[in-house]
Amino acid sequence: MRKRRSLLQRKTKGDIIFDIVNVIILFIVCFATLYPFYYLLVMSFTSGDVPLTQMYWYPPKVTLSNYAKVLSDSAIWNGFRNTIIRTVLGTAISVLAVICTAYPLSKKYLVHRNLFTSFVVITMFVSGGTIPSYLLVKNMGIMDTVWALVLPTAISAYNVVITRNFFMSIPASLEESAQLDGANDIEILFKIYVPVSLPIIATITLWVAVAHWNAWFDSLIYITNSNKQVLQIVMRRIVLEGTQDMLNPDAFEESMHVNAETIKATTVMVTTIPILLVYPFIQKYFVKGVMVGSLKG
Amino acid sequence: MKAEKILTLVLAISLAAASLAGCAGKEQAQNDDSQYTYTMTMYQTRNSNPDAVMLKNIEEKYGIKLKVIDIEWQKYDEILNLKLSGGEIPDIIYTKSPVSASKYVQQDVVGSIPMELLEEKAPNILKRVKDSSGDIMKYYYINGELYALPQFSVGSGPSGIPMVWRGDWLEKVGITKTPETLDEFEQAFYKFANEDPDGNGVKDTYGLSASGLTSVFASYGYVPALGSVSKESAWQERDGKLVFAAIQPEMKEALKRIAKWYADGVLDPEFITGENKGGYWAISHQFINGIIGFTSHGNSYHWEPMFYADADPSTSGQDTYEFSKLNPEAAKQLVVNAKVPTLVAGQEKVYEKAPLVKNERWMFSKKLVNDKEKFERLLEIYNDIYESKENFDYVKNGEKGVVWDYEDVQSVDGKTYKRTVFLGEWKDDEYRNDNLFNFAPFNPTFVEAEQYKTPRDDWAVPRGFDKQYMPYSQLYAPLPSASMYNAELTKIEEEAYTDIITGDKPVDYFDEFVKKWRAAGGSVLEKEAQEWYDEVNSAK
Repeated sequence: MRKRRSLLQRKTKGDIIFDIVNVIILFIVCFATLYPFYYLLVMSFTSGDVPLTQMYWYPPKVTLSNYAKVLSDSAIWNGFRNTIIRTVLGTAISVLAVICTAYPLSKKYLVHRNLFTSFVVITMFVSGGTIPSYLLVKNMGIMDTVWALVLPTAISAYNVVITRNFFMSIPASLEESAQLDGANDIEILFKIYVPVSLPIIATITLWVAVAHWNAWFDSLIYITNSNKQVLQIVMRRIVLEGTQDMLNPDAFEESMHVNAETIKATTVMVTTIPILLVYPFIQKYFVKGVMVGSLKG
Repeated sequence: MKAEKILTLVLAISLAAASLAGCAGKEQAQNDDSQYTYTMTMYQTRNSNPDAVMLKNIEEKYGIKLKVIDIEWQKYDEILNLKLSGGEIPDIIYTKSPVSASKYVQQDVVGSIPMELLEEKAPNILKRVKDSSGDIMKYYYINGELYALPQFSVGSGPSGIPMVWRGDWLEKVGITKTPETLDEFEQAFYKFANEDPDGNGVKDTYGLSASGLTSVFASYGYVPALGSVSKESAWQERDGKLVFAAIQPEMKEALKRIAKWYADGVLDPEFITGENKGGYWAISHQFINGIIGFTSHGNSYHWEPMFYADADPSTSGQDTYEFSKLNPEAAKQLVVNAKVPTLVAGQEKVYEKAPLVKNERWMFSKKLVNDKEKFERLLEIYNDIYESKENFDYVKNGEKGVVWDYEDVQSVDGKTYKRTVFLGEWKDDEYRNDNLFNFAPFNPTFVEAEQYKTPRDDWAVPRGFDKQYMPYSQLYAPLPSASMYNAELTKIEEEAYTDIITGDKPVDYFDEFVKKWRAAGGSVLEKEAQEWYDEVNSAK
């Protein structure tokens, strides 16, 4: 007994080697993942007249003028406003819609529950494609409004399924006791189920919010008024400028006015950091939410 | 219980039906104003401004309304397709490639332009095209009908694919004359690789990388994908036939030479991934960072020096600018010229200047072409724009003397040039608001008007950029079966070329590659290319 315990506690040579190798590999992976971001961070603080074909560990010539220039661009602020509006509105609508869809589907006494569930699940495998979606949005008359960005993606089948599974893991006796106290279905959902489901709600909130923050293609096709474009479109325009082989005669004049790499790096920083700051606050729910939701099928 | 189930099903179905019915849209009513409104798309790197001064100028001058439909250039075809399928068809459609052009014709989206109508209403278009680049209208026919107006720009001065040497390295390895023949090129490459031109005592330099191979292939007379900017092999004329460059027997000789360079450590082993490591496409990181001593990356204007005495260094070509940041002294010794090595067969070859047929072109919606008066009005406007340089400049930049004017300016080497400058508050981009506003389809030569020489002319002409030393593709239309075979053929070619160069396959594998290429659909393309070539050259 004693021997066995010491075997468990003591690290063998193999364990130590494994740990060392493991840590090294993880460091390499970490480095490979973080370095490009770190490089952009360095570039964003670098003056544009240093050689831009080299790699840097720290800014060779520190300047804040990149930030001053990017933050004085009214298109960036406009983009921020539009992105925040769509993210807040889109996340609120989406989370509410997902909860309201998932809750009934989690109830065994719902008639044709499996049929309805499969309706939802089918959309995960078959999608209509861009052209029908475009025609739908166009004919609904919501082109060029924020609704074109938040409504088509309001309900994600994947989120519905994991939320439904989370609800199903909550004992039915909770619902029964609330019913005995005279609560109706809506009260049961929002006063009993939602408070105990915070992990999963926080998780899908984060997913939806990040997706909204990063989304750009829908804005590109549904929004034609440049004042209503989201931040990512503004960033894309600045960052992609000049990266493609332009065999276009007009590219000649254009090539003279390409934004410097430092400005591009700064734009990436400015547009990415706000959403990165959201993660730490939701982290603790995050892991729990994904795990619990995935347990029951 | 049973009844309840059926009821829910019925409810669900009727709900679905109701939501589907909601989709049936209604046509938007046309607003009929006495003025014609033209909707158009164009090349743009930022969204247009509906209040742009240039837009207002054109609208006022010609009594029309213009509405630009913004489409991001990177996703241009995709989004334009969405709009077309959604029934939003612009009157004037900027078309990105010949492939899209023939697609729009197939889809019946665009109308054909009767040549007689052009001759009657807009003879100036034909005249300016002809003055600028000769008889190129024939390349815009599809199925025997004219469907597009060309898009090109001659305003920017001579340019072309450059041969760029590090002059300081040449000097260091004892070469005093800029190499001219392929053997002289080869000698310089070997010296760059072996004689430590950067003087750091380590053998870490190479003669050339990917783009430098262009010069070798050109010296053998053909441009395969590996040696071209467009990453596509050229279709070139050979004894009256249009042939595919990558399968010409001369390419085998070229590959043999390059494979030897690779084995001898003269060719940068990173040539497979190219010289540009991200960022602006025309930057050659390998050259600027002192790894290779010769490059053909980018275009000549990326390698030009700073021209005006009052400018700052960032106005020089992007590559020159980056290079001078790292090697300020060596930058003064960059050797740039247009001359590819003389043909291996012996003499120097100058090709006929490549016609200004670009991928982009202007097409007109069927609806616009069928609305005879509206279309004729547009052609009349075009005709007026191309009537004189003054009219063209007005549409392009605004009124001379008010918005812009010529100004005398000193160049770095003390000569005086005329430069176009914006005046007063028009200097401000925001105020001018005209960025990349292209209403005039193309930028022609005005033979009768006084054209001022720019420093670029004086720099590029002695370097040979006004002549055509580089062979080029003479196919200007999509081949009918190209989309079916191209992906596979490109892969076969890429693999064969890389494998032969890196020595994974012997040089004799080239013959097998040619057979493979023909069998995988290449012979079909050869036939189609020849048919197109015969048709274009026999007809008009």
